[in-house]
Amino acid sequence: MKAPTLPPLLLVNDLRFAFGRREVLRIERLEIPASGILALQGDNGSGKTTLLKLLSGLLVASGGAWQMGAQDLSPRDAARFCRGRHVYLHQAPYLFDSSVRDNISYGLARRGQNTAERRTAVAEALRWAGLEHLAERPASALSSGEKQRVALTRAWILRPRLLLLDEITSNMDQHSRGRTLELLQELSSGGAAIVIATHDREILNTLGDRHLSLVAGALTPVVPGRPA
Amino acid sequence: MNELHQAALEALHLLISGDRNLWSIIAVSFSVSLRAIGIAAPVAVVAAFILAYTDFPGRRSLVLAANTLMAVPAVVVGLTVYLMLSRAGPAGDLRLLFTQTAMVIGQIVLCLPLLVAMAHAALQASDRRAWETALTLGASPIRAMLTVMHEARFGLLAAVIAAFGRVIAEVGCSMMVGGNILYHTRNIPTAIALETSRGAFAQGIALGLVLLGFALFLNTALGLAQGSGAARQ
Repeated sequence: MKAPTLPPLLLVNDLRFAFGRREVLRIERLEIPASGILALQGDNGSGKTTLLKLLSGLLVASGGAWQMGAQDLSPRDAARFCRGRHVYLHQAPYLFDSSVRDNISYGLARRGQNTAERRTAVAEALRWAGLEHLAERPASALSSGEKQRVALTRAWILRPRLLLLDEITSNMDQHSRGRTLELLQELSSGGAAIVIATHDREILNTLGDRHLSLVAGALTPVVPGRPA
Repeated sequence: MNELHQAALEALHLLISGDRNLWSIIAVSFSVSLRAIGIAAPVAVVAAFILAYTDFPGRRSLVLAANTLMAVPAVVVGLTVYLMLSRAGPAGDLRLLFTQTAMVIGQIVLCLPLLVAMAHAALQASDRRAWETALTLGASPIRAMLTVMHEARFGLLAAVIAAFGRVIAEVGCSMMVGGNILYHTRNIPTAIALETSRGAFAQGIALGLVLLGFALFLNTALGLAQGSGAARQ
């Protein structure tokens, strides 16, 4: 028997975004599945980061019809809806000037969890990411690979509806990269919806369930294994 | 030279002996300036954040105005506040002229542009990813603003210290709107000006030492705070 297909998490028609008068994105139709990894490739400056920020609500689209589940939303309402539900990770992640533990619990505190709940959740998250030994370390003392994993854990702990990752493996050594790919694989098998903007061949060939290529602000599907 | 030496010794004696006049002047100075900074700093930091992190028509003009007003002499601020608070002025009915409240108002007007300009520079230089990260992790815009301010705290603290340094040392505005009344509105700079004009240097030197000591304390505190921040990086 064929498994029932989940409705998409998000569907946008005629998505447009402009910096001033310069239109940098014009996408006829974008569908984000409710689970699985969508790999987004494209040259530098093609608009990948802009698209991820639009999907996370950090930027407001200039136009487009947004559909989140059964809700039809304007670009402004969609941005408000996405902020905090869809978590975006920068290419070089920003960690607050505090310990790893405090960084990971930041989002939980914003959701009103008390200290005891946060402590338990953070301990579980640190175990999940294999970062227990770094819990009390100041975030500023971490390597860039460790920072990226802490940022991923900080996002994961919130169980976002959509995780938006910008070139997540670009600054990592082999070990951190391998561990991060494992974590992403686990997330994906657990039913998380993830969009990864990447040039990483391994992610493109092994992790992405669907591949899209962004060229000069427009999206085209890519058949895995073939150049975009 | 001998006279200067004598005055310095007298100054130390005044400080150590707990001279009532001297310590009342110091108390007025700190009370007025701390109130002014306490009111101006939160307003200025929020205004600076809005200028640094939002975009609206006239934003650049406001930044330019804050930078320009930083250089306005204290006497000009004093004159403006005097005209506002004098009997014939729009706020004359409040009868605030020659009170500590008038001095607080004057010092707020004096330090606000400096605070806004310096806090704006600190926030402008802060990492925008802090703001985006806070928002994407579910912080409300106000909570995200507080997070950014925490991240830029050393720059903001430097702005507050610079503004405090400006108001506690200014003489023109306090003299004009406070009136230099002993035990009420006489603060360190107006007392130094008065005592020097009378040829009595001991009290002036003692008060100058207090200002210098306080400046040293503030800068040491800022340096230590910045040092502990840097040590963690």
